[in-house]
Amino acid sequence: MSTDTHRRNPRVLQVDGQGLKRLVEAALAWLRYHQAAINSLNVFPVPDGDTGTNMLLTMQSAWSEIEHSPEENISKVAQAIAHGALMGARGNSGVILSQLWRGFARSLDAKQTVTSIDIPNAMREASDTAYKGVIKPVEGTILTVSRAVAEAAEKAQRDSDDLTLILDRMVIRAREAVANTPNQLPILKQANVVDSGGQGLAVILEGMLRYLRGASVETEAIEAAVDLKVPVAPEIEAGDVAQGYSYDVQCIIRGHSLNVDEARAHINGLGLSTLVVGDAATIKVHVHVPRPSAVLAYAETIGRLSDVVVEDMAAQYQQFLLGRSAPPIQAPTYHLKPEDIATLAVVPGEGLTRVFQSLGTSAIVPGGQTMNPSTQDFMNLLEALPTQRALLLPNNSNVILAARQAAELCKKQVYVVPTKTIPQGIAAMLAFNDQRDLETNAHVMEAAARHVKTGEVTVATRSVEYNGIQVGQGQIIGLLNDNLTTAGSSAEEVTWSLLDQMDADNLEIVTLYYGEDIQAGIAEKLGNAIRDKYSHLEVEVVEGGQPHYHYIMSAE
Amino acid sequence: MVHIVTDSTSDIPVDTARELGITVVPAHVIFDEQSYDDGITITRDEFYRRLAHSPRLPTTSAPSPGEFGETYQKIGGEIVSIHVAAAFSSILSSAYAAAQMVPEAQVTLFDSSSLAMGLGWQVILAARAAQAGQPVEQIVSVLEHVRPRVRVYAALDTLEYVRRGGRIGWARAMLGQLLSIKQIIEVRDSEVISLERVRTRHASLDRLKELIYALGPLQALAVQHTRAPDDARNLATELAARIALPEPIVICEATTAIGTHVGPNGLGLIAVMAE
Repeated sequence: MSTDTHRRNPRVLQVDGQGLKRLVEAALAWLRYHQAAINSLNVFPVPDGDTGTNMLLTMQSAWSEIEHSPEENISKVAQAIAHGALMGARGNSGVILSQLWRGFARSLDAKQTVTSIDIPNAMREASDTAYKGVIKPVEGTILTVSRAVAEAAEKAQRDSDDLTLILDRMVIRAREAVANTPNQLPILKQANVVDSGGQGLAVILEGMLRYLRGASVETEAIEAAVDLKVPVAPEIEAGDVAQGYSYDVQCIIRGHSLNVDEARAHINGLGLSTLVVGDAATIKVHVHVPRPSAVLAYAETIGRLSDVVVEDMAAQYQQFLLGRSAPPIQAPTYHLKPEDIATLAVVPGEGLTRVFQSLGTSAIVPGGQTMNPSTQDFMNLLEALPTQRALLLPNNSNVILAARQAAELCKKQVYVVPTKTIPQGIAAMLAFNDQRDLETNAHVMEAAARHVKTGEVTVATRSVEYNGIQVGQGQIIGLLNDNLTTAGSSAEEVTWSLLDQMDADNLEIVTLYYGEDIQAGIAEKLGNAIRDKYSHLEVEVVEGGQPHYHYIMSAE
Repeated sequence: MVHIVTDSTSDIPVDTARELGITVVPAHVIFDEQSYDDGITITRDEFYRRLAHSPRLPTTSAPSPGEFGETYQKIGGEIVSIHVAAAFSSILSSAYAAAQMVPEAQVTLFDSSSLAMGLGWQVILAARAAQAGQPVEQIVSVLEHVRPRVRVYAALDTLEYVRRGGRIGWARAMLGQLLSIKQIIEVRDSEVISLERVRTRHASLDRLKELIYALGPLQALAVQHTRAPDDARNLATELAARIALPEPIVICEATTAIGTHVGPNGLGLIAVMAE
């Protein structure tokens, strides 16, 4: 990056491949810092659709493509970023983010470096590509923000050739656009949040701007503050693991007149990434060591041990690396011949997995609510299939885009049946007929999915008022067809109101899939009560084993 | 005149058979080691009543070559003998053996590749040709033109019986099914094909109707059921209001052999597409 250091805000006139790399690194770090905040911008306070996590994982995948690259040609670096983002894309915002990178990279053509005159075109191309990447573009989302950013870039470039200034204007405009999203999308206004994907994009640009200005986006200092719901590349851990400090040891030492400083000094000598805090009565220890026994042996000499946790980070790290190259896949239950149509479904929980397998689903991708498989995950699975034709059932609205992207990228013939819930996925799977061609199957399955009603019972992840429904954090809420419609104090109470909203008097069959935290007896009791109240109704109670959701109900 | 023979799995209503001079050879139903002649020593009604309560599934067996032989001998002359698909039953081989044994009759055998009224319609149309004085070659030609235009769709209320019967490959694959499911099947070219599955009876009947509507103009239509006469009648009324047909819809119970494998509350639509 060539900079003019005479000014307080250094002028940046051009960026090359290594410069872009530093910008992406900064963006990634800043995004990580804001991950939890972006996650909390869900429209419905349900434990899914973690936009922050999804965008972070997408950026992380982009970063891993260029992390060790000495490439100075910016268009080559941009292409690598776009490829990484595309393959690692998770969730709807992640997919759109990957499209932004794709358009950006494409506009650079074969340029060695980028100057201010290239920026408006690149941002325009990025935004246009993202708009084209979704079937029905919706305003008030990351798309709107991307277009606003492109417009700001165009205006700013007329005023200045300083990239810092142009990026500054882009960030300001991004913030305004994000703030305006509730005015464009009524559901955001109702939920009193801004669009999470748009916010993520603003954060990414802001991270880059902070880098150009020399502000801190240091990751290590703030890492501890960030709550990662999904295992993300443990960079610090990775470093420690590489040096042989592969055990993560945590414990609490209780005693009398403990010397915290002395303990910290000693434990520091045993390992890396040491955290030793406490007082004379209690010390909490967290350290990475080559052998856990040394720490525990020392701790025993100064007090009584409790809450000992020993984790093998090497194994976890290996798992993570493995996870990047190949997602955990259930072995196909049915022997597929090359001419067959394979069916792939994204399913959380053991019980639901069994249901899908019993319906002949060829392969199950574990995940769903809080674990959105990436484009790469789908790609790996599709490539591994012995068949040339496949149908993908995302079973979650936030997985559909990644599935679609994989379907497009994959050389095989792949259709996505856009199922948004588990019951929709089951209805679609029932309609599958291996004698029909791929396209006809996709249409028939989509139509079948539309006929089923879905009720979901879960816990509110934050307080919100939506559609006149007052919800407190931790309260039980009910979603009807992916929309928050009821709240209550118990899973049973919410189930009853969902049944009422589903117009149970006119239903024929209700299937209750109970989650991992619900005992079979409790679910059976609820099932019997439903049979008692609605005597005409056929009620099935099936173990779903899904996390976070007490009950998933399918009704027809 | 050429004489038309079939077996009782054709489900042709007794009156129609009498009118058209069709000879129906009864298949056997074996309940608890006791053999009955289908439709003669055991009525369909009785059969389904016992089916629901019998701990063991009844078995069905083909008329023996001897029984076919007696029939052919009694009739004599030129006979066209039309039967359930050889892939589903040994009836056709029984008839074949009989045909060799009876020099008094010139029997031409015809495999319908179908069952129930899918067979029945072929028999009825052949009998009409016979009544019109057509020779054997002409009747066989009529059959060959009708056979590919026959469509058989059915909605099973339960998979329990198909599974217990153990004959159908895809039904075995669904062993341990976790959900209650209504299966929709098609019988075509001597094969039982799983079309799709739905969760409610309502949806299964809707799908059946859609399948029939998608066929375009029809020459004939039958609604068959396994102990669901009301549903069959309602379905026929609905279809009659929607489709123009040259002759009334036939409503009848399905053959015991099918009942054994389908169980109660099954509904089938059997159509002959217009030429």
